[in-house]
Amino acid sequence: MARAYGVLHENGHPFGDGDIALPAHFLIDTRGQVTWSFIATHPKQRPRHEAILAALSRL
Amino acid sequence: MADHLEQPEPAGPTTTASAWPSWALLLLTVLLGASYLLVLDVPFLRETGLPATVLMPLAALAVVWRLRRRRSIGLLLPAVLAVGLTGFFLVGTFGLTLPDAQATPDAGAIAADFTLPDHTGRDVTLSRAWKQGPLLLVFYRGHW
Repeated sequence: MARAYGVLHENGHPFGDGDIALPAHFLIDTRGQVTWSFIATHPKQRPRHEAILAALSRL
Repeated sequence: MADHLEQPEPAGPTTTASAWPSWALLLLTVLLGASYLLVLDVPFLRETGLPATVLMPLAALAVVWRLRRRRSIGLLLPAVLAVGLTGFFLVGTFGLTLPDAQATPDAGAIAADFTLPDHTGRDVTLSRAWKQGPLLLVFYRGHW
């Protein structure tokens, strides 16, 4: 599923072999459309709550 | 004749007494690194690692500074550990990067549907869930 969303991190497990996902968020509306996304470029990045709420308010 | 005899250097308690501040500073270094866990909910502090990214090097520097008086194993070992832990923390904060995402869905694209079990083992289908309201699909960087 991570591969389907383009966020597969191959061999990204920090303590050995194994695929993991990039930290990512996708906002999906009631029609199944992706309206907002956040993909981290650093392991510690996460979207701000305000950004998510702002994206929700635009729906 | 007694002047020719060398007086042995005091050992044991003196060496231990001079080493404990270094071990205490090492403990402080460890606690400062662990304090990062307390600020994970604050986005700016989580991303910058503050205040640990500033205070840990200072504590490690203090441990290393004590080596200038005497280089014994009791002082060298905490210094090596403090520098190592601080370096590990700083690399984890600033040195790690992630690969670029490949072919993520653009805004307006239909989300890829899937069915997966939830924590109770019940199957959850994404397309059913989004019909009930907008949803936020979150990918955690982790491994179960």
